Amino acid sequence: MNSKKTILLVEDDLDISEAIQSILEEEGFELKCSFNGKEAIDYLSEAPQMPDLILLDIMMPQMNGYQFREVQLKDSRLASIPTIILSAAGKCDDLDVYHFRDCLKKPLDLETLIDVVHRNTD
Amino acid sequence: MIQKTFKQTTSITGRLKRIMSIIVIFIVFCTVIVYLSSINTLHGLQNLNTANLLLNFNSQAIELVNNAEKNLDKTLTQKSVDDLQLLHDKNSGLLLKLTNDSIAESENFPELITLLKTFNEIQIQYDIRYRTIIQKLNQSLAVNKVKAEILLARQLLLEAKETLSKIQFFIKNEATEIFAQTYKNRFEPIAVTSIVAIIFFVFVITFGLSISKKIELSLSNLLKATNRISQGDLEHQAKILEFDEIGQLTNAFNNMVVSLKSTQDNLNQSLERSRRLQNIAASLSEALIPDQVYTIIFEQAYEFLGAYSAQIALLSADKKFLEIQKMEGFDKEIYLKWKRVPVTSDLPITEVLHFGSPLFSSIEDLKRYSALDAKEDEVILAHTMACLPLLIGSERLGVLAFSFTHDRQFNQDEKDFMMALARQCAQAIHRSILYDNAKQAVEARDEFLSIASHELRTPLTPLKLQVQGIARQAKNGKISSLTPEQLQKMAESSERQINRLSTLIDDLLDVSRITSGKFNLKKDYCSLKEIINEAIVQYSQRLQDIHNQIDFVVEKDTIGLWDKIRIEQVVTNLLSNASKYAPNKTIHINILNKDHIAKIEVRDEGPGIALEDRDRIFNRFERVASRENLGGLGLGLYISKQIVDAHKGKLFVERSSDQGSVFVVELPEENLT
Repeated sequence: MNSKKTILLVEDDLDISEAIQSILEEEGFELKCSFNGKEAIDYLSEAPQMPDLILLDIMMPQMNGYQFREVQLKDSRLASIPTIILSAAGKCDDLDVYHFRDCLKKPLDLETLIDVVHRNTD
Repeated sequence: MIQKTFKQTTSITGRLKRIMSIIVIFIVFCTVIVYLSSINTLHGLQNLNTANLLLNFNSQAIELVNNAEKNLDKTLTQKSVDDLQLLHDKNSGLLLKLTNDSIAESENFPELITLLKTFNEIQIQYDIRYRTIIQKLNQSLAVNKVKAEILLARQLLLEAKETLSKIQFFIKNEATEIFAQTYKNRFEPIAVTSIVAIIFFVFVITFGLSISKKIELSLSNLLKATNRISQGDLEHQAKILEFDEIGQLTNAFNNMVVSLKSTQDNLNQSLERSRRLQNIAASLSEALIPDQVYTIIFEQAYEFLGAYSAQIALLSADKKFLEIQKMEGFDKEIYLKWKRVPVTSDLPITEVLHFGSPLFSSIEDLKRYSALDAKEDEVILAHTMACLPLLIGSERLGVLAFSFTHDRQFNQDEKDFMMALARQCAQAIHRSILYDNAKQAVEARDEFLSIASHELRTPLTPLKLQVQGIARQAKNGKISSLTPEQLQKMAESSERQINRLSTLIDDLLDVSRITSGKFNLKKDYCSLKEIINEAIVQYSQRLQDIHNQIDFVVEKDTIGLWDKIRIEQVVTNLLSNASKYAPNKTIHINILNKDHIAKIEVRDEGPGIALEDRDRIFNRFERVASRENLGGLGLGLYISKQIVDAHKGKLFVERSSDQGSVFVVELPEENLT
């Protein structure tokens, strides 16, 4: 069980969150879900082990994806975790500004999602 | 430059005339002098001539006396007395004539006349005596007696001779003296004539030269000025040296140059103005926001008109106020006092707005406006004011006003320029407003599209993942490993996503109907309580994952003529908002009736809504929270408000604090229209 890669999914929409969770668990990943940036930061600050990958939604209540990323980049413990954004805006402009590893456009394609997640965790 | 008036004090022709008359008088004077100087000489010459004549007479007289003597000698020897008588008469007649002629010629010599008269008397005595002798001879008297008579006669002849020699001596003396005198003064007339001639020439030359010199100088001055003007120097004025005809000509020339200059200035000014207006038009066409427009207009007013202050006031949306958009030049207190004035105030700007024509008010004119206070508006009242309406066709946008120091007068050109400026300004403002509206509309549309696309993508994501998941299982031959529970969960989730999508689409369609005016109500009598209950059921079914408790209190139910489905939609929206902003908290619903108005109050326990946001949230695409923090199209409250408005009711936030917000729906019991 220790060989399982951990992914932190930060997504406010429960249905999306559940769908991604079931698919990636099927692929052998361990999923941790937060419903906004604030929850994710809270989780990370207490987590015994850092996740191998973060899947980050942008538009979320309380703390959005960009705000989360700013906090993440300032924390040396968290900054190195590869982070992929899930964009519902139909575009991926902010990849370089926030040093995201990759960008997935909603609605997500199953094969692309699995492929990108594998590539960034291997 | 100003045209100069000219008073001619001298005249060239006048001067020439004067000089000519002086010359004539001078010539007459010279002639008189020359005549006077030569009259003595003439007189001398005349006297000499007379003397000469008299000498001639004298010598003839001597000869005649001698003849008489010979005649007398012959008397005793002569036989014929008659012959003697004849001879004597002839001789005596000649002598008498000579004597008389000499007397006539000697009028200048009185002494000579005396001598001649003495001679004449002697002659007369001799004549008498000689006749006596002849008579005695005729009587043949004794020769002795005749001899005595002859002796006496001879004696008379001697006396005559003596007198004649005296006369001769006198004339000779006199002639010598006259000649000496005349000879002595012989150069006098020439000298006088020469001096007079020299004076005359000096006079003529001096005057002639001075006049010609002055004329030459004046003309060369004028010529120089002409050359300079032909080279384009219109500032140059020819100097007036003499106030005569040339001076008059020079003055007329100078005035012509002044008017030429003023014409050229006017032409330049109007060229400058049209160039300026073109530049303004060009600058304004690039000015997209109102402030840029104001800045350009103000700059022109300062630069070109020398305005002291500039203001632009626009009519408020309700057309009841003039609101100053920008004011420069005056103090802030003045701005604060006048930034928003009712259009009914007695002010130049409101008058201009009312009549739609420009107004140029002097300091005196301004004192007539009752709204201007002598003390508080002292600064305004100390300036001349130009107010220009900002018109687009017949529509009044506002007023452009400039203040000028001193009691400034405006010429027609300046007025035209200001009016052109106001026209350009109005058009630019109109353009910028249109641009602003269009920009806002585009921004709103872009934001709406972005939100809509986000909101539509969100339910699509799990739907697509689930469908692709099933396809993947089928492909891998694992479809049979799915349990019925898993399949049911998938189907339920999919249905939920589809419902979400259809709700979104319904909302978008509603907005589209509202904007295009195709929003119709299907009214029927219904109970408010039932509507709310139905809405709660709907809400609970739609939002299963949100766990808000609902506390519904019926203070007083109302049966009204409403569109049941739409009112339900309003309540569902309010519930959905409440659960979104206050998740997991209780939502309180209360219905009551006051003065035949049904009231629904929906209170949440969320963070509340700031006062400044309470009107805004009912607009399209507006949310209290920033876009990133909360999903949703921001259409719920907008649609709800449109529905309530269509029922002639009211939807508003009654109060909002840390304890939450209260949204109130007021519906008239019946609205049959």
